[in-house]
Amino acid sequence: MESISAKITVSAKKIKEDGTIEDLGELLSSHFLSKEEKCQEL
Amino acid sequence: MSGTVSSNTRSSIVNALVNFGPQYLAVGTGTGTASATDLALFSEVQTRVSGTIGVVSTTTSGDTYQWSGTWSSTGIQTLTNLGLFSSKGSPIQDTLSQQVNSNTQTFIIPNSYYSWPSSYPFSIQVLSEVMQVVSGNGSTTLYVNRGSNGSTALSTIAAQTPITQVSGQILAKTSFTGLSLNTGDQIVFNVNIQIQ
Repeated sequence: MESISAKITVSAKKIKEDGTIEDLGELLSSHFLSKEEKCQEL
Repeated sequence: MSGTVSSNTRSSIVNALVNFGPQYLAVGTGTGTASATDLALFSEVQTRVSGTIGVVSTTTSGDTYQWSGTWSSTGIQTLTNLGLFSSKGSPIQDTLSQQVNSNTQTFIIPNSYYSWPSSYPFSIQVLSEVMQVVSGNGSTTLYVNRGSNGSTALSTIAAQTPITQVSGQILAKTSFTGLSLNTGDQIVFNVNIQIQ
C-alpha cells in the first residue's frame, strides 16, 4: 500500500535596502519533519 | 505493486492542515539535524512571526500547504533551522550547569533554575532529545523523564548545552546550510508542505 508522505521545501528571498529582491533560492535542507501524529488525525 | 494517493485525498489533507489555524515562523541558529521527534528548534532566536497560509498546486490540484511571511534579522547571525508553530510565544531557553552523565539520569541542573515554570509537567528539548520535566527541587534541579516523544535518550550531554522549552505544537521543522544575515535584512520565507 502506498503511504502518504509530505515533502517540505523552504525558499527565501532577501529584500534589499533599495527595495529590490534577491532570490536566495531553496534552502539546502538536510532533513525535514512532517508532523506525523497530526496526519494520523486526519 | 504500485499505488497512489488520490488528488482529492491530498487536497483534503492540505485543507486539514490549513484548518489547524495560524502558524508562526520561528528561526534558530543552533547546530543539529531536524528529526521527526523534535518539538523545538536548535537555539531559537528573536520573536516568532505570523504569515499567510494558503493552498497551492505543485503536482496535483491543491496538494501543497504554503506558509508565506517576512522575517527581519535584528543582528548579524547565521540561521540554521526554522519551524512552524501553533503558538507565538517564545520558549524559555537556558543551558545545562552540569553534564548529563548517562541516558538513565533522571535529573538535570540548569544554570537558571528560577527561569523555568514551577508547575509540571512541561517538555524541553536538549540537542535531539525531548525530555518531560515532572518536578523540581525548588532551587537547582529539574527531574525529567528521558527520551520523550519517541526521541532517544543521550548517553552524555555536555555542560553549557542549550535547553529549550517546548512552546506550542510544531507543525514542521527544517535544518539547512547556514543562511548568513546582517542586521536589518528582511527575508521573505515560503514554506511549502506538499502531500504526495
